Amino acid sequence: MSVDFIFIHEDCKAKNAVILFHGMTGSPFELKKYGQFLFSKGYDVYAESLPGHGERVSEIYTVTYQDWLNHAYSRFEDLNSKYENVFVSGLCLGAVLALAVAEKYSNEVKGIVPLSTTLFLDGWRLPWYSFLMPIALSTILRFYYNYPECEPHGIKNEKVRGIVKKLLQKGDVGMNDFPMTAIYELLKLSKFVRKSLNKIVCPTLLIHSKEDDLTSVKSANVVYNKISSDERELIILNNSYHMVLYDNEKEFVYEKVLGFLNEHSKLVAEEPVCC
Amino acid sequence: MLLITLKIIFFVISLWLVLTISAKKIFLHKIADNVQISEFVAFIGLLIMLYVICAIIVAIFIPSYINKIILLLLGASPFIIGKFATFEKENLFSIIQLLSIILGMAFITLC
Repeated sequence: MSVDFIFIHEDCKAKNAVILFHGMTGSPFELKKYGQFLFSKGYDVYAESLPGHGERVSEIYTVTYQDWLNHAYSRFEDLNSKYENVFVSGLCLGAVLALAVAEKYSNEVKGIVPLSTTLFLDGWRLPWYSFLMPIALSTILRFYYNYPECEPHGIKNEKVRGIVKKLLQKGDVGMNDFPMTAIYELLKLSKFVRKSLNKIVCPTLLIHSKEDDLTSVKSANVVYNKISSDERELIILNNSYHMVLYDNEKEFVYEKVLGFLNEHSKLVAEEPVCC
Repeated sequence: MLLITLKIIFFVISLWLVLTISAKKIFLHKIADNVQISEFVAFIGLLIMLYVICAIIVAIFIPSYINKIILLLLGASPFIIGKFATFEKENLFSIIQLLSIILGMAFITLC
C-alpha cells in the first residue's frame, strides 16, 4: 500500500510548494495531516517515501545516506523548476535532509522548517546500553541489532500514542524497529550535514521539543548556532516528545509553520524584479 | 603471573564472544521478541569492548614487538572487519570475525 501523497491545487497555478520528508523508518503517513493543513492554506504539498521506506521496506538494510540525499536533491530540483517558491520541511531524518537541501541549493530554497532535527541520538528514551552504540556501529553488530520501537513512541499524548501503537502493529505506517544499519547511515548523513551548516542562508524555522525522547535540543541548538541565515528562529516546545506533528502542541506547530511560510512566500513575491 | 592472569581473562572473553556471536547467528534470529534480541546484542557489544581493552592490556605486558603488533591487530579486528562488512555478505564477515577471535585465542595460548 502506497502512503505517498501529493496535494496539488488543480484549479489555479500555485506559486508555492512545500516538500515534506518523513522520519527514519517512518512514512509519508506521519506527515499527512500536516500536508493536508498546508494544502488547505494554499500550498501544493509533496511527500514521498524515502529510499528504503514505503513499499521498498527490505531496502532499509542496504540503503545509504547518499540514496536519501539524491532523492531529496532530485525532488527539490524537480519542483524548483515548476514553482516560484519551494519550501522544504521534514521530521527527524527528514529535517536533516531539509538542511542538506538548503546547503546545496542555498540561493534557491525559499525557506526550511526542520522539525525534531536528529543530528545526534541522545534522547532520554535510549536504552541504558546506548553508550555501546559506537561499538555496534563500527562492527558487524550493526547487522545484528534493531533498536525496538517502544513506549512512548515519540508521543506524549497518551490517547494519540495508543492510536499510533495500533497503526504500527498493523505495519502500514512505518516499521516497528530501527535497524542499526539505518541509524549508521543517519549518523553519517548527520556528519555530512554538520560540515556545511554555515552554507545555509535561507530563512529557517526550527521546532524542537524540550522533552524529545530520541534527540535532545542539542541538535536544534547546533543548527541554530551554525547556520548563516539572517532570519532564523528556534521554537522549543514544552509539552511534546519527538513526533511534534501529532503531539499535544500540534496546532501550535501547524500555525507557526503556516505563519513562517506565509511570511516568506509573501516576501519573495513582493521582491522587486531586477533586470 | 600477571601476564598469565591477563591471558586467561582474554581467552575467556574471546570464548564468550565466539559463543554469543554463534548463538546469535544460529538461534536468536528465530526469536520474535526484538527487545530480548537487542539486549543480547548489546551484551555482545559489551564483550567486544572488553575484548579490545583486554587485547590492549595484554599487548602492553606481552614480550616481543611482533607479538604486540599481532595482538593489537587481532584486538582491532572487530573494527577492521566492521569497516569492510556489508549487509549482503553479513554471514561471510561473521565467519571471518569468529575465525579472527579463535585465532586470537590460539595465539594467546601459544605465545
